[in-house]
Amino acid sequence: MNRCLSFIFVCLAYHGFGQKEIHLDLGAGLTSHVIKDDAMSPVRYTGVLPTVSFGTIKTKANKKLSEVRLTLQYSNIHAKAAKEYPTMKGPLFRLDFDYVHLRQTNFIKDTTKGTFFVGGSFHTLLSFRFMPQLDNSAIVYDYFSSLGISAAYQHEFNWLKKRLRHYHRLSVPVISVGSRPTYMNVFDFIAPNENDPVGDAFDRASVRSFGSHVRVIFRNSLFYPIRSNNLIGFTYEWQYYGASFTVPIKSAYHSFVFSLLVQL
Amino acid sequence: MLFLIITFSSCEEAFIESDPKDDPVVNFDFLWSELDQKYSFFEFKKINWDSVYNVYRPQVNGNTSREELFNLMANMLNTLRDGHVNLRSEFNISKYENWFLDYPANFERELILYYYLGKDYKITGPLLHKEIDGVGYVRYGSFQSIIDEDDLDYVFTTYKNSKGIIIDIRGNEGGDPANGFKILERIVKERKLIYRHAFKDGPGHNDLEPFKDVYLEPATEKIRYDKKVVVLTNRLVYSAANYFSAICRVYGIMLVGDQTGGGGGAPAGSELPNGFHANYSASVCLLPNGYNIENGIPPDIKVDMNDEDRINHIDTIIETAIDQF
Repeated sequence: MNRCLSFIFVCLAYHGFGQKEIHLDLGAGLTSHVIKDDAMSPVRYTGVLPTVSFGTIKTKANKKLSEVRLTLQYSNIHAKAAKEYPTMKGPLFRLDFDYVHLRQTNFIKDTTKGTFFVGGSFHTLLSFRFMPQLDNSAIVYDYFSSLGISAAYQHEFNWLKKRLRHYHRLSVPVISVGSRPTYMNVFDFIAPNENDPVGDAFDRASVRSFGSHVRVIFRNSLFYPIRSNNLIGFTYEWQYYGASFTVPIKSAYHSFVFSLLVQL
Repeated sequence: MLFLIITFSSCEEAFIESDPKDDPVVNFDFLWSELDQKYSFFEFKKINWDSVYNVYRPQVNGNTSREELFNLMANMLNTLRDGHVNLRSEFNISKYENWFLDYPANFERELILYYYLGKDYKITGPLLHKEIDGVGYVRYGSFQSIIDEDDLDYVFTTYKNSKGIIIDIRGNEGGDPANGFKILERIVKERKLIYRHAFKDGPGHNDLEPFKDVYLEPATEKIRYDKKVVVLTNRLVYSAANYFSAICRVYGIMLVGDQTGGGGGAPAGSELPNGFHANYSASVCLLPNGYNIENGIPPDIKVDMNDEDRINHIDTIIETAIDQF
């Protein structure tokens, strides 16, 4: 079942890549994280992570809109008490892959000359923390691949003789394949040739619905036109996810990314 | 956008619990509870953890200093009599060490360096070795030092014409068990069940995941050592080195010296709200006959270093081992 769902997810992702894109989206910025992960600590960890993203945005006559984006983040996170005890910190690496396919809808009546879209989305989240102070439970991770629903609103307005575009999107994963640490989160290093943390993590992935894995992605972008139909974008994204697995986690971030959108 | 940021920040505060209060009582209770739910040997060691709480908890209050709290917690953890249990802070690391301090050392490094290895021994990776009375003597002091296949190729080839080898792991407090597997897979002749182990998987003292059978396969494609092997142990053989000794016991590889110190639980860690870190045993390991290796592996030939021998620069345990060839 897990493998079947994973296959479907991957096929959907390839479908996204296979579409003709209009803008190549190259972004860089900073993301402020808050994580409370019982596999790490009873206290919150925070950190500001440099963020880069690559993707494409395709729009077709305001009828269809699709986004494919890979976002990478890496930096240290730490607890408040880290000032007293330096090891209350560790690196966080996070990878997000998002594919969103939307179509215009007239279901919602608009009075602002904007366009409403609804559709489906695919999201993969991979987050690793390395906490050497936790001995053999040092590697802490989350992995979720999800199918979800998305809705967006886009409208254009004039400012300083330019036509700017404002874009808001809300995505909510509904069904996911996910993996989290086990109760003790100790990898099997006492059996010959079985110390395979990555393999173990994927082996224990299970299908989760909205109840046990909650994730909300809110994306708000402003695009400013420059030469040759290229754009400069500024995006604020807020994400929250929680997983009520054996070892629960709650995490949220605010991301601020500037991007250059090059027309292809 | 500012409105959104403020709104979502408020959502975070609602969704993600704030930090527990950094109070001595809160920290003490957290540590006690973590061990209560995650430590794996309460039943085996017949420890009444609730009674331990009743002894130590009244000694903690809101005015307990950070150092006093550390000492109280360390004393509480020492009731577990486990070398894998320790508490770490910015000013101290607590350890329970009676598992070797209460017994004879049975190892004297200088005696070996001056009178056995001398000036003409070889160092191959983490292994110090030399032929003594026709037997290869190989010293492996810590499984934290990674051994690689080339090291073993060299050592086993060097002593292929000797009567056998002695592997001296006295004082080896462990490290990565994989180092031991690399050695033993070249010595053992058949695939065998070496032990069964299970990690804790729930808060109850007996909540263990199903025991997993662990096998060791002989490495037939590598340079092997088919002659007699004797392993020297003492009470300071711990953790991964204890696992190594346990596997030797299963395969009938002779252990000479003192019982090993133990350390049969794979250690995991927890962080306290105040930044202290605790490590503790999180699994149980049993030999195929059901023997729990937490308290160590008894030797086949029990022999202590003798004071008279020591004065005469003789390591009684090495000499006993040489006599087995």
